[in-house]
Amino acid sequence: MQDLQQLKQQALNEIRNANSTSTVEQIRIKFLGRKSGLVTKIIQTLPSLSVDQKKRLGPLANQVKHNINQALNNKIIALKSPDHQTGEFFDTTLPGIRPEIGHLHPITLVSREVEEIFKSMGFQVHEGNELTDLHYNFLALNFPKDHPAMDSYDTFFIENKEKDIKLENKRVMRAHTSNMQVKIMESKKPPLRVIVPGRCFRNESTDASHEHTFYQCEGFIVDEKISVANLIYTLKEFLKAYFKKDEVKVRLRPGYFPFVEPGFELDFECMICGGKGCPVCKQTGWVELIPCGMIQQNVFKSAGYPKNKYTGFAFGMGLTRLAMMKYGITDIRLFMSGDLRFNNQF
Amino acid sequence: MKISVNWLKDYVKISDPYKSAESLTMAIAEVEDVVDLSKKFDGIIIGEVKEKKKHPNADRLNLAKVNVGKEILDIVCGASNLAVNQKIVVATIGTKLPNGLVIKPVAIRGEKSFGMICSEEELGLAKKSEGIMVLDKGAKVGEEFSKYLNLDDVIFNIDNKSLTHRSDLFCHIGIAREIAAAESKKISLPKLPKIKKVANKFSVEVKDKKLCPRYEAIKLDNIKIEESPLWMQARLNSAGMRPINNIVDITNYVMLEFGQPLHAFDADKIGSKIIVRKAKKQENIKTIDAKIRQLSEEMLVIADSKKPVAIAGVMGGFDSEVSKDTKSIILESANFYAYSIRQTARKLGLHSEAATRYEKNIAPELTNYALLRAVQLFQEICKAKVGSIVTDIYSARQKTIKIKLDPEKFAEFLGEKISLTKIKSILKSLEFKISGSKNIIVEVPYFRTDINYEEDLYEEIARIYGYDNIKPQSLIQKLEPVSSLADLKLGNSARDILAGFGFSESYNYSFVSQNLLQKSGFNVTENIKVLNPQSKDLQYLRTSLLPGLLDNVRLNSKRFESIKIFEIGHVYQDSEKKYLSGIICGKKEKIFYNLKGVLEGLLIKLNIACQFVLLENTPKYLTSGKSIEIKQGSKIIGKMGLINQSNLDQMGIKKIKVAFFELDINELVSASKKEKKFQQIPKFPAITQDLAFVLDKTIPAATLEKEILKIGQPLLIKAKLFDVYTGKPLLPNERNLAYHLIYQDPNKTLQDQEVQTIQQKIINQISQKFQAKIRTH
Repeated sequence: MQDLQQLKQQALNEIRNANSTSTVEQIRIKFLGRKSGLVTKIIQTLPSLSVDQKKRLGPLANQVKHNINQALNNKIIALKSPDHQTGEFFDTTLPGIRPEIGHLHPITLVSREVEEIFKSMGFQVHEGNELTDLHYNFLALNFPKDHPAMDSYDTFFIENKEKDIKLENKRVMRAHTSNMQVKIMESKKPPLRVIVPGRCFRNESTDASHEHTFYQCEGFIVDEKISVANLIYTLKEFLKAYFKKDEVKVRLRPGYFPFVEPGFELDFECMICGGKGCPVCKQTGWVELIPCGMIQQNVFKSAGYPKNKYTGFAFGMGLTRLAMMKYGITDIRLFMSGDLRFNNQF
Repeated sequence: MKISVNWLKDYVKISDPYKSAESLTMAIAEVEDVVDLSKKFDGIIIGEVKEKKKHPNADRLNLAKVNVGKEILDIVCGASNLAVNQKIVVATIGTKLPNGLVIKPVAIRGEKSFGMICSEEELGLAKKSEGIMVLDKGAKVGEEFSKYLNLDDVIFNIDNKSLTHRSDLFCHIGIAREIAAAESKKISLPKLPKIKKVANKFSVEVKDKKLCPRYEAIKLDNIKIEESPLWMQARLNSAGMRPINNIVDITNYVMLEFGQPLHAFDADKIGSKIIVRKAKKQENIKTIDAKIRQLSEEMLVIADSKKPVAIAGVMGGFDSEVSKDTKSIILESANFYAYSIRQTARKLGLHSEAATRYEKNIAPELTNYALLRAVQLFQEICKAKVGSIVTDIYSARQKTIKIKLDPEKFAEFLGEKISLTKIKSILKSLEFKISGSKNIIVEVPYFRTDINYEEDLYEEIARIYGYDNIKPQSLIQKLEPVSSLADLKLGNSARDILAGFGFSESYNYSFVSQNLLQKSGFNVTENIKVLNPQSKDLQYLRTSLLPGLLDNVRLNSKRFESIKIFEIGHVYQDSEKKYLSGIICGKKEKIFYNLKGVLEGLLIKLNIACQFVLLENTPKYLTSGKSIEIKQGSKIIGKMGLINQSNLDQMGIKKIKVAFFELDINELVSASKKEKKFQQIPKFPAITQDLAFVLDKTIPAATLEKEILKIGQPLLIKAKLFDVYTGKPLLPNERNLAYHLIYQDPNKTLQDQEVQTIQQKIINQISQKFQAKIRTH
């Protein structure tokens, strides 16, 4: 029995190394030759064995013979194929010929990811305009005229064609994507579930962590009977989906934004250190990510909705910041640099 | 905003500052940093220089033996003011200095050094200093430096950018109130005195009652200018204000305590009457920083009968400032209209501590508390005597606000039920008064000028209750399919298609410089101007994506051989539009066809049928005759072409040609076909015949093709150009265009004879019409 298995292995090895049909023929004679083939000889001894041994060795011997035969035949087909007959060395290790590969911008990629999650939760994606006015950017959002709350928005003012323009019509580059809240509400009635990813502008000097042009994603829900508990649920579900975790710990702190009441800062527990404190969370264990809150009734008033009929919540998040976190980008200026050494990495 | 914990302890019990910082973060505003001043100088102690020797291997260095109490340290020091017997500040081994430097044992040019003698700069006490810091003789050797400085306070750095609605929190009492409410503790406020009645009265006239709802003033005599007591100086320092003299310090102290700005005039330097009025035309004032400020007519000033003595709520006047000779003061505690203060401060660029508070809308009721507190301190510290009764011009009395609170509506809003008892106790802890039982009537405390609506109360209760105690709850809304907006969908498809064609996506600024615009062939007058640009590079809004893309080419052409970039972005013309643009670079003008092919492929994938026609009015940046317009009927969807050589030269783009396209996304959306329709697969075979024409090379291929199809219809279904040839043996003005002509009949198998007849017809008519020679294959 041992002999049969060894013979089979030996035969298959020799067949593999054979490089001409004549060698293959010699191997056939050596193992399966009618008179003195090594396997044939064993088969010829079979009738003289006991019934027990016959039962054991008979089928095995036939199996070995069949395997060797098949390998011989396959080898002959391979040797006769035209590809082999050229005889030239074919180097499969040379690199493949790639089609030219294009790249999407990291902000596009992150924005799509965020959009996908919110779309799956029934949100519609809007974009809106970037050149807006003080009305939509601030006043309709319950910012009092020339209030210090506007200071932190460092807004770019844009020339108007007309002279003696009213304050609310003064043109600005949107300082946040919240500029679309009232605009969308004006054109649609609740229930509303909307996100607005897009480009925003703040008049700040640029350095590794500051950019005057960056991307945000605004979101809001308006309906009857929307609660703070709904806000927490929705944003927690988003974070779970975005970070692909079964559970994400969040905390809500007070934050002040005139267009929400109450306003919150939503932090999530740092996933790098698990809340113990590390450079990413500035040793606090928490990462500040989503300013949010319940929409102020005056915002509904700006949109022409009846008083106290609807409630809703709004939130915002920095897409540029998400992209920096996701890819470990440490210099914010690279996003708008147009440098292909950066853009082509994504 | 810096808040001193020692100071807070006057009003509320604080056992663990870190815990209270957390309470504040969770209940009102983030405490960004807790600084324990006693730990700021850990490992830094006072020493005495016992010996000074020249360093054997360095001219400028000295070897010092310094007694630090427990031991004598060898220290190498480079300061020129080092001297024996000096009391100095030593950073011992292991100390981390405020600038981040960690002290280790070192050998400096062969001499060992076990510590560092510090300068004020190294200790973070001065921005710049020369030589080491030398202490007074009385300094105790071996004592911790923080003890020497009396540093035993803890400082909260509070993020006040998100407190612009809470004027009451820009002071220690306000923060103490929040801690008391968040930690269910008692608050105790300073007991204020009654002021003795005197006969004299100081006269005040408020001319503009809207801009000045309340003005209180009192005269205080018998004042001697001195330094204020050390405890007060320490508190001012902790809160980030520089002590000046007892009068100024008391006014600042009360402001940091109550949040009400005060001002002290030297009573002998102003006339007998104060007038609160708007500035007159051409009026100016020299402010306490010794600068002349030009006033405008909407600004409110405090004046005597002759001239302004202060810019109301913003800054005092130089001429009426208290000085070392001051004996009597007029103390002002007033309320000004927030909007006007902000306008004035901004116009003058004077964002003083007072203006920062006033612009956040302070309660008019507050002036009296602050005035009484200041009088109390003037009496205690300066032994001042009351020189007049309190003049109080209170024209617009602050109304008490009462708001109805519906607990059921509140529970619905929150998605969490808070018990009525809890609601009441929270409101009380925030000093709200409560009446009524089912619907509660809530009276807002005077200092909370930010509370006007029922929702404001919701926030107050919920934040103290703790937002983390609210259980998340799923939305219950109708299940409705959401459609994507067409422009976004198309944009996203285009992105994927172009990336598939090997293009990289770029994002460029919406702002462009005049320089870049001109170099890339644009007329600056058409661009909208930014009124407050970040820099010269950001002066104009882009009307095209081209300048940014060309700049990308300039940047990358040194490193990359093949550049294919696209961008989807907004451009700002008469209206705001969304464009899709792309660029290909290459050595030869043939890239025109590469880019045209990309456009053809893109439009096929997007299922948009367009025509390409020669661009008539070529813009400056495109090469005339080498540019086309992309149209659907009469509607212009975009353009493409080769960028003008002169623009490439100006951009510094060398040795390559650039082709560019631009499509208006919204035009693409309206041009796109609704749905693809299935076409029956032909049942009968097609016959392909090749035919080549030699004709004048200025005849456009498209013209020829159109004519061929016209002649061959309806059985000739396609003429596919497969070869273009110029050169020998053709004449110089000739070109050979070779076509696969595909014939097919939808209803039967075509016979050779039928095809030959049409083919002959094409040959005859084309050769006649275009003087073409036929080359059959």
